Amino acid sequence: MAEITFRSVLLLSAVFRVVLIFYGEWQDAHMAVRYTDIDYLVFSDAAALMVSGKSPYDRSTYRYSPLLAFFLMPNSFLHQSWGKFLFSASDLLVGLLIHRILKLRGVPEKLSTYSAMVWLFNPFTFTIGTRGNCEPIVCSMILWILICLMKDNLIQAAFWYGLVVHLRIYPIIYALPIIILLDPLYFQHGKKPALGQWSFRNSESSLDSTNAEITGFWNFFRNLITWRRVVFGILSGTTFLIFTGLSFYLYGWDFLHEALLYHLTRTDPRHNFSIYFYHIYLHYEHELSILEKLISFLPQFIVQLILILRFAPDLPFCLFLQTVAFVAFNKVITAQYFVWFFCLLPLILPWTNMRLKWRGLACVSVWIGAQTHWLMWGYLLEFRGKNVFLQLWMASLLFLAANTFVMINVIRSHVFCPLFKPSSSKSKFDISDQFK
Amino acid sequence: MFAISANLSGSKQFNINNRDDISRFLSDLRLSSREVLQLRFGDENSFHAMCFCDISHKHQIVRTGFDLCNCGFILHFTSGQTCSVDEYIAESYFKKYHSFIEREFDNFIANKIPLGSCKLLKDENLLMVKSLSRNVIGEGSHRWLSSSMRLKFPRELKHELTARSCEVVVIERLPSGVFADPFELQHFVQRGVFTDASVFGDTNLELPSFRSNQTVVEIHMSIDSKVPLRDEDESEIILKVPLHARYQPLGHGFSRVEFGAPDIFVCCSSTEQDVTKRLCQPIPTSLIPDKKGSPLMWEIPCGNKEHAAVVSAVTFGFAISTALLIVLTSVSYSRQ
Repeated sequence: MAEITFRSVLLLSAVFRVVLIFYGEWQDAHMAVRYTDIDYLVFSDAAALMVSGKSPYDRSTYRYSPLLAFFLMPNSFLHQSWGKFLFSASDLLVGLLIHRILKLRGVPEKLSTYSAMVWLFNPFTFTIGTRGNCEPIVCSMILWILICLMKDNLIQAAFWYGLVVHLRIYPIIYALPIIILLDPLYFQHGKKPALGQWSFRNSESSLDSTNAEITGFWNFFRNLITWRRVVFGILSGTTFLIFTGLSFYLYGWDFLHEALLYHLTRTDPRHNFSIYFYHIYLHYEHELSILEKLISFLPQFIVQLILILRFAPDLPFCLFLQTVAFVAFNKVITAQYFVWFFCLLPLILPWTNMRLKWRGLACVSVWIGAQTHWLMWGYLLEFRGKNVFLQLWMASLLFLAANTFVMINVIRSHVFCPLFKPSSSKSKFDISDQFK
Repeated sequence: MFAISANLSGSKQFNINNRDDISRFLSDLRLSSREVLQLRFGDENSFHAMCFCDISHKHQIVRTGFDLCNCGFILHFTSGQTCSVDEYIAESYFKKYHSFIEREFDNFIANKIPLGSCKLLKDENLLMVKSLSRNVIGEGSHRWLSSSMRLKFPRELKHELTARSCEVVVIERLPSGVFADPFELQHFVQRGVFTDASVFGDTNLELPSFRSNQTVVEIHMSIDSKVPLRDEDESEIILKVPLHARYQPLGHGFSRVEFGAPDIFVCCSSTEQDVTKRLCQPIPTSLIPDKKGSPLMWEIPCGNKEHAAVVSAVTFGFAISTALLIVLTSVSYSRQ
């Protein structure tokens, strides 16, 4: 096979997405079943309302930041597919950023390209952008934040982080690991932090200095207040408040209810992948007690905390695991949430000992199999009208089990590689000195 | 609005303010055959007249002007500002009441639609609905409510009907277990399947049915293309409304949702001297022979209350167990 360069892969992906967008337009016009996602129509309507000076929240089920409608305004005067092109472009940007991050961490070109292909040629990925779903934008921002952190562009990283939390609330779970990552041990005055290199992944000493962080509870908190962390916290918090405040000023309580509070208090009894859906439906007639809400939050909280404490220095790995866990234990799971961790998956692939043959394939087939199994019962319920609530609920339990299976396997076959190496002046032992 | 009856034996004036007045007025008439009944509607200065005669034979011819005619009966009149209705019939109800209350809506349909509407008298109609057959087609949570009606067009009126643009307006009162998606209906309007469609009442698409109110769907379908050709008198209209099931209150197995009869109107718009008027005539479904004797039903699966305790316990137990498994794996992971 001819040499697969990253550029040709990117070009091919771009062409394919353009073709898909045109196909989508054709299907919308000629077939009863639409290619375009229903959410895209919601965005377009909201953007059209914004163009005529009204509030995008007049469009029912518009549950996003007004910024999104703002960027989709050209849908009204340019072409209705503008949004799809925007989302597909950010989709391609994600592929580019994945490649960049891997190269920065010293991954060889071929492996980087193959990893990026896991995102670019994932059928889930190319349909989501071309159908008009806005998730690729969020993914590209997360990856950009990673790059900024890796290059020590703290101010930029903080700005984009504040913005992405304003757009979608879930990245707030990344706050603590990022804070932990900004350990002064990595940052030598005047120099960029040294990035842990892939080629040394098996030989690097496990003596990462953050082991020292848990010596003493009070030590931990004292070390937490360093100027990098404070700057990051304040800047991102301010950015978030500015964007949220501006939106509130423009659109009032509508914005707050639809874009923020809805996502925080969402309890949807309609069937979805989450194990909690049937419980919520059976108890919908009376409000869930505070105890019940806490209990359902507990597994999520415990898992997130432990993952952060154990894996924060290897930030891409930590973010990946956190996102998978967050989605799996959430009260509502829809298929578009999967993109949140699909964009982080290529970042950890070069560091896994898992071979595709048997273990890797097992993980993929278990995960896809559990999903397909759920979808089958969902189809029977929704499109055949059979009462299969109990079976559907058990299928969602199975899906959680599959997610856990994948997570456990990924953890066990991962080679821990901190994002930053302790800076040479502070570490006792720096292997890279020997290779100079 | 008032009516004057003029016949050979003199004229009488009646005041007509509502439907009851009309029926009373007409039942008071005792005309022998070949008598001319001339009715004028409107105020002193501007009115249109219609002539009718030979009531006993009940032929249907409508003519405007003062010329005498041979047959006729009150069917349809073309004047009076009160004839116009809102774009949607149901809209005026919801402007006033905001939410659907069965008794009030019945009252509204029977009485409060502006008097300008043509009224059914006896069994005669501008348009007759000879038969109505209803069905719920499809499977699962997304089905179609299909109403198929045979319309009978009086021969003399065929030309007039195509000159004005007429449409059939069907108002469905949806039971609280199902809903219609207004955006989907708009898509149908864009594709030309319906001339217009709207949903009134509680339009929250996501609430389960025990939290939401009833909704009313109003569909307009043009009958211009349905007016039958020269020799035929009847044609068929099929109206399919896409409906979706809500999550039902808990029960055992399936929850039954029953559909009542729709309210059907025929509305015609006419443009005279740059003023467009719209007139609507109700077609009472009680007079239409219904092929199906039994009520129309849709069975929707619902959750089982008895499962509640087991489901909750197992759900939380499972969540905690899987969480602990992940915690264990993470803690026992060695970074070397």
